Formats: sequence, C-alpha cells, structure tokens
Amino acid sequence: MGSQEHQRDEVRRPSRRAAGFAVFVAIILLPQIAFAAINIGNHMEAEINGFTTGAQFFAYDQGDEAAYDLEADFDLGAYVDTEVDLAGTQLQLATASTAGWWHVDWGARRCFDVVNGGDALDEHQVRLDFDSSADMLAGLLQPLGEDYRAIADDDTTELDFFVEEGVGTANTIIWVQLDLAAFATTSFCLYFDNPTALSESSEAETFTYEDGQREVYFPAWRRFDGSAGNDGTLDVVSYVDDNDVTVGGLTVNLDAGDLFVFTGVTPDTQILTDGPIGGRGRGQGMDALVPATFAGTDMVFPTNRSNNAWTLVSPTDATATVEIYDGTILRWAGSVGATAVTPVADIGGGRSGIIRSTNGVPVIVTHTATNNSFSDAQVVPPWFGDDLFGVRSRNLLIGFENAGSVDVWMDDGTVTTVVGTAGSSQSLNNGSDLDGNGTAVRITNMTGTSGGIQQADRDGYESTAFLPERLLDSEYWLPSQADYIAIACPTAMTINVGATPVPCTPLGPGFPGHAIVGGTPQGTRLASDNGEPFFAYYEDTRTQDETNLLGAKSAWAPALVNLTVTGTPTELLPAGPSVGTWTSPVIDTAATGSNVFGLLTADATLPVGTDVRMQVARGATPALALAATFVGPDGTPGTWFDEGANPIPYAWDFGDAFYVVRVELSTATPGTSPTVDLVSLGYDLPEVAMSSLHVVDTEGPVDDRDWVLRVWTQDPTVAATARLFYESSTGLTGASSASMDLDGVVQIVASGTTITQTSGPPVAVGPGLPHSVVVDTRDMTGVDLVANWEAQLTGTGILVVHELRISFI
Amino acid sequence: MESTPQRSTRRFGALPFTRRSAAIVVALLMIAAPAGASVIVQNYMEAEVSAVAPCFAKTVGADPDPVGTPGALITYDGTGNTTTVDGVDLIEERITLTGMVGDRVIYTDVVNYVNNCTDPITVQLTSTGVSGDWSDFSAEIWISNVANPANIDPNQDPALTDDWNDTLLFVGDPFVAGSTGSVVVAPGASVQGAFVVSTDVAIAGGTTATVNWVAEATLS
Repeated sequence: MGSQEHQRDEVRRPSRRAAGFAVFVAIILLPQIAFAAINIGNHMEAEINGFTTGAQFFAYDQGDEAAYDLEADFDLGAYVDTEVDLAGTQLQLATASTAGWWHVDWGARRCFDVVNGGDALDEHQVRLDFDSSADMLAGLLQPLGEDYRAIADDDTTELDFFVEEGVGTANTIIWVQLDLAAFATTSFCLYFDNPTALSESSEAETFTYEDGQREVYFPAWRRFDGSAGNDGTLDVVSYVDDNDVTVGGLTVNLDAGDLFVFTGVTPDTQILTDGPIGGRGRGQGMDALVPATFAGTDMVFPTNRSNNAWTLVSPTDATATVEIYDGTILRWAGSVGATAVTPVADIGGGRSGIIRSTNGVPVIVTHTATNNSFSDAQVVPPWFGDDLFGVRSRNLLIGFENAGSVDVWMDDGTVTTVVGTAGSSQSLNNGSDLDGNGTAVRITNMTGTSGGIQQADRDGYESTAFLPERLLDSEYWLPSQADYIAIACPTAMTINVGATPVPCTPLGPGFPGHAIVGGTPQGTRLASDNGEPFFAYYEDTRTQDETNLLGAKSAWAPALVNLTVTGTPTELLPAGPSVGTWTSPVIDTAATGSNVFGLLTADATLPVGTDVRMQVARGATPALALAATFVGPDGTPGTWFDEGANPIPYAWDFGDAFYVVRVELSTATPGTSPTVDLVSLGYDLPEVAMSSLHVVDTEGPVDDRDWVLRVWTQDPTVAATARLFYESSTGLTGASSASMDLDGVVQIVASGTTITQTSGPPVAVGPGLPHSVVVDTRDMTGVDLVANWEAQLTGTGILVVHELRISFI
Repeated sequence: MESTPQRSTRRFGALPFTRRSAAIVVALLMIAAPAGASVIVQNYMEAEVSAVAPCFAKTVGADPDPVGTPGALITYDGTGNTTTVDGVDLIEERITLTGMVGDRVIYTDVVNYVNNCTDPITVQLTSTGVSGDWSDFSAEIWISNVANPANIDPNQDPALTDDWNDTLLFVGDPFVAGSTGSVVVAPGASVQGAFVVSTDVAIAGGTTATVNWVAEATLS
C-alpha cells in the first residue's frame, strides 16, 4: 500500500483528453468558476473462486443406520457382564442368572440334591417337605407360592412341579418331576421371590408322562372267577387331557373327565397310562384301582370280617416275602410277585391285620371280606407316619401294630385318646352315623404304625380306609356313580362338586371339617377352591360299596425307590456386577474418503444410581477396528458419549470405514440395572438443499424433540462462531411452539404466532466439533420456518450465511 | 507517507497549462478576432509530468490475508497487478475471494479508501467490466459512509443503515454496469469497502468470475 502504487494511478480530467481544453473554454466562458474537479481513478479487480464449500447440512433422519434392539441383534456383539433380558428386547447388566442363577426376576431360591440309590427313574415325582415359614416371614413368598418355579441344574430347564400345601409353614409340600440317573445325585432349585409371577404349579403336568405310558395302576382285587357279580368290569375316568390308557391291550385316549369301561380285568391285567386316572371295579370284591403310590412294606388294617382275604401284588419285578398277622399271630406267609395272590387270613375280634414285607420289597394290598357277597373291599394304605383322615360311618376302627396310643380329633370338637396293645383294634363306634353323615376324623399323635378304617355303614358291611395326609389330594374324579360322598377336610375350603360349591369348615385348628354330598353322577370332578387337599370316599351306587377316592399322585411310590432328598437354605439373588459392557460387531460404514455420520444413540432407562455411556473404536479394516482403542468425543479413551443421542465429531467423518461401538452399563446399586432398548449408529447422511428439509412433527400436541441437521464446517478449516437468526415463517398458530437450538444453545423461539427470540448467542463451530440443529416442537404441523445460519470466522469480519427452511409436516 | 501536490504545479492530464499561459492565449484571441483574418499563432507550451503519490489511497482491510496464505478465503494484492490505460500500465489492486457453494459470504472489511489529500474527496465505485462465468455468482460491492462502519448484518439491508451508502454496486449475470453512490471522505479520513458474494448451490467446481471496477475520487 505504499505511495508508489498511487504514483501509477490514473489521474485525469473529467473529460479525459479534452478536459484541458474544456477547462480552458470554461475559464473563458465561466470565469466565475475558478477550478474544475479533479478525478483520481483507481482500478480494482475481484476474482471469485466458487469451488469452496462453506456449511453443508445433512438430515439426521436419513442415511444408513446400524441398529441393535432385539436379542438377535445384540447377540451379534459381545457381552461382558451384560445380557439381554428374558423378553429379548433390552440390554442390561448381567445378574447371577449368567453365573448359575436362572432368572433375575426371581430373587431367592432353595436348592435340593436327590440321591438315587437305585435304577434310573424317568419323569419321577419327588416329594419335597420343607420349612418355608422363614421365607414367608421375610416377604419372599406369595401367599400360595404362586412364584415357585422348579429349575433343573442346568439353570435353564423348567421342571414340572406341583405346590400341594403348606406354603409358608414348617411343612411345605411341593412335588417336582425329575429324571434321576441311576446311583447318582440330581440337583435342582426352587426359585421364588417374584411378587408378580403367576402360578405355574400343575399337579396334572407333574403326574403326567411325556416319555410314554407307565404301569402305575394295579387291579389288586380278588381274582374274579366268573361268578355272578364278579365279572372283571372296570370303570375308568381320566384326570388329564390326552391320556392314553391301555387296559389289557386295549388303548383309548381320554381327556380329563372322559369315562371308559374296560372288561375282563383280572389282578394280572396290565394297566398303562400317560397320566393319572381313577378307576373302580364293578364286581364283588373289586374296589378302587390301586396306584403304585400305595405300595408299602408295613401296613395295619383294623378289620374283622366274616372271612378276610388279602390280595397282594408286587408292583415291581421283585418278589416280596410277606407275612400277614392276626394281631400278633402269624396267619399267612408267602411270596408275592407280579402275579397277584389272594390268601385268606382271618382276623380275630379286637385285632388288626398286620401286613409286613420282611424282605423290604413293597407290595400293594387290598382287603376283601366275604361279607355281603364279597362286596366289601378296601385298599390298604401304606404307613407314612402322617395323620390319618377319614369319615366315621357307624364304626371307626383304629389298629395298632405295637402297643401305643393315638389321639382322635373329630369335627364335632371332641378329642379322644385311644390306647391299644400290639396288634389290637380299638373301636370308636357310633350307630347313628350312617351314610357318610358321621364325623370327620383326624387320627394324630400316633406313637407307632397304626391304621384306621370306617366300617359297617348303613348297609352293614362296607369299609373304607383312612388315608395318610400325604395321599390326600385337592382334586378327584368320580369313576362311578355315587349315592353319597363323604368329605373330611384338614383345613377350611369350599369343594366344588361339579358346579356345586360345598363348604367344608373345621371348628378350629387341628379339627377336620366335614361335608356330605348326595347322589353324584359318574365322571363328576371334585376340587377344592384353594388347592388344599381333602379326604373323600363315596358309596358306589352299583355295588353299594364304600370306596376311597384316590388322587393323581399315582406313580409316586416312595417304597419302590431309594431316594434321599436334602435341601440347602434359602439363597438370595447374588448382587450382579456393577459394570458391564456390550460391544457391537464391526460396522462397515462403506466410507470412501468421507462419511457423514448421524447420531450415536443409546435409548436407555436409568434407575437412580445407574448410568449408560458409549465409546467408539475405528479402523481402516475390521481387524484394525476390533483392535483399536475405544475413545470418546475428543478422540481419547478418557471421554465417553452419553446415553441418548450424540453427534459424532466432524473429524471422524474423514476417518476410517469400520467402527465398533461399546456400551458401558453401570450401577451404584448392584441388582439394579440400567436398561438399553436400542444402540444405533447413523452414517452416510445425505446432504440436503436449504429449501428441502422437512421435519415430521409426529407428536402433534406433545413435545417432540428432533435432531434435524448435522452442520458440516470441515471446509473451511477455520474456527468460527455460529448462530441462527430468524428470518420468516408461515403457518404458525396459537397452539404452536418451537425452539431451535445449536448444540443445546437456544437460538430461535416461537410461541404461538410470536417469535419471542430471533437469535441466540453464538456457539463455537469448526473442525472436530459436532454441530447440530435440534428442534423442540409442539403443534408445528404445516409450519415453515426460515432462518439464517450465520458463521462468523474467528478474528475476521467474514460472515458465512446459509438459509435454512424447515417445513414441519 | 505521501507527498501532497502543490496547487501551483497542478497538472491537467496530457495537456498541461499554467494559468499564466492560459491568460496569454485569451488575450491573443481577443486581439486577433476582430481582424477576421486567418492567423496562425503559435504558442509554445510545456507540461512537466512528475510521478508522485496521489492523495487518494487504498489500503487493505482486516479480512484479507496476504497473497499465498494457505487456506485464505480472501487475499489482497495491492502491487502485483496492472491494467493498461492509454498505453500505460496502471496499478490494479486485485482481490481474490471465496464464494461458498450454496452460501452467501460477507466480506465486510476488504479495503479502505483513504483520503490523504488536504481537501475532501468524493469517492464512487463504478464497474468497468466482468469476465469469467457469472451465471452462478452474484456480488454486491459496498462502500461505507463512515470510517469504521458496523459489519454488514445479513438480516438487515445495509442501505437502511447510516454506516453504508444507500447504493451498492451489483454484479450479476447479465452484467450491467453501474456505480455506487458517492461518498465524501474528509482529509485524513477513510471509508470502507465491503464485498458480498452469493454462490449458487448448483455451481460447478472450479468456476471463477472476475469483476473490475474503478474507485474514483473527485477532488473539489
């Protein structure tokens, strides 16, 4: 700018070369004008180069996206102390379920070991009896154990189970169906502590066999001889659906409540089923079909009839050596195998029949009397030590294997202690208790092996056995028509007999309740409303024989197996890790020179004390990306992207093609995890022209925040500050509201039809800095908003201006 | 810095006169005219041209970088270019600036028009021609009314402010010659020149366009 430049400027008169002369003329003609104007012309030139890109705008809602939001997607990546929830839609911190805990939603468990000292047992029912009172007091159990689940030792397989009774008491009875290897220990766990879980307890499933039919019922009756009334006809009712029942080679498929009549059944007839059935023979000397559960080695049956015959059969291939005592007098001894035998062993007055298997091989026993044309027959239950339940109908007989005593609690509130000598039978008769109207009875505090029966009902002959509590059930199906049904309930309940509710209410704790039901059709279902078990017998209309109703626990035969069950104390869900990560597979952005990124997003839910954050590794090849160091927004390992939506730094747009996203989940409260519904990385965004950008205001009257534009200022590679400046709008209504910000700094605010803020403070932009336009809108549909994006280059007065037109549709 | 020409030696382009010689010529004409005869009077004159610095100067503004600055958006070359007028090469300041695709770029402080004279000057910018491809460019050349005008606000017409002259020099396609308004610059003062370039989003890469103008200072 030195003076020499101006020495070469053009200095000229106004009319150029003629000017001198003109001035000369002017002086002559206009002498009053002393001097003319002097003009100095300076030549200038500006060359504009139009090949530079200033700001470029890219639509966030366009381009490509690598998204992970389902289990199959997350499985493409790598978990470290993280997992996908059971629904398969959320990433969360791992819990103990990945380290031996079945499911995080169950907060407690109690595990059991079952030692099988015999042959392999497939789909075998294991009865658990444990104390869950502390669990209930600790609030870990639902009232009826609805949250119990039985899980195999693979921590995955759910086992069939049946919560029978006593949840929250010292005697919680739960059945679990297990495959037990021979001479091995099988472990499983009961999980609980889930306040919202629904019950999956199923007696039917637990006592049904998926792997094929079983021989678990035995027609252990006096061998029919073709005489009148001894015709071998068997009425069967199924307890479950799709039950293949085979009797003597004839197979029928029955659903629950279906009835079928088999004929020609002898004590040797093989009966196979997929699941529980009830059965009753029509002939004299026939009674209820006996399940294997009734097999035993020591039984007391306090009966004294005109002629006492005992039908015995071994439910296994083993041969039992059996002795039958008349009190203490041995009346019969012999071998009992798979072919039933029916020895006569009379029992004297005041004595009980004592049946012992001296070699420990269990047998199934029914008693048949000659009274009333052999119509009086009864199953003989095994001895478990449980309280016995029954209904006195005229006579109540209590037998003692050894000298001892029992307490007899009746539903009328009386409690009687009965003392007996070895092999004796003691009676508590009441001649007015007829047709099931007698008192319900609970025999308890037994000092030794005992038995109880009801006998000599109105018809004068028939008997039923008092059953040990563990053989009671909450559901029975009536295999034949009943004249009446007598019920003893250990606890209060309503029993639905078909569609008829029948209340059964004990006087108080320890006393049984009593109920009586009149004539009832064959195939009727009896079930307690609360799942609690009860005792029932009925008078078979055809034979007038009182008959025990036997439940679904047909194949559970503890006497037939050698199992030892031990349990562990309650364990609480172990605290999970406090930090875990999930790493995406390699994302190929297919970048060729440059790649305009969208958002790095983690849609997360953050309970108090939890956090989710992300880093990215990148490389020119997949292998290099996998080996690269994870970094945050500033390109160092020390920074992280937050959960939510994050713009990628500009500098990365010109980097490598292959990316790996790492999501870190953390918690300050182990056991409480953040969850991530979606991890996504947008890339290859298309540039949008300034008048073509549309934002869908999908939320209408609901606040809707949208990432709209990624602003690219890589060229020029200089620092700047930028702001938005409102220019114009159309379509605003009184309901409209919007704010537009740059990187969280509010620039333009519209409220109703008024623009309350036309611009905002400038924010730094430039290479390496993410720079985005975000709008918060409500009811902006149909609005066009025009604004200038203005970047002031740092240290200069140069201003780059770009017009944005956003149409909300 | 620059010497100021003395009024007594003021020179008028290619035909230099002194006051005295002009008076002699007039006197001779007044004498000869009544005679009506064709008289040839020869007057011997002389014009002495001295190359000194003019008092109307231009200095680079704050926005341009020196020529050759890497990545510069705008450069100002005050000495390296000439234009030929009447067979004489004159200095032509050359500004090279960047238009950004799809954007408008405002270069507010490009050049200062400085009055180093002892009397006020009136400055006006007049376009003299264009070259290159202006189909995707347009330019506004502004001159300020004051020495340190406010930056041109893209959201306000500069003509509506007191800082900038109401009439800009617009260059576009097709080219129409024009001029800014005139601005009086006091002795020792300066005004500022600004340049606003708009670049079409569809411009082809490498397109360039050139505009030439003259900054005319009239000394009264």
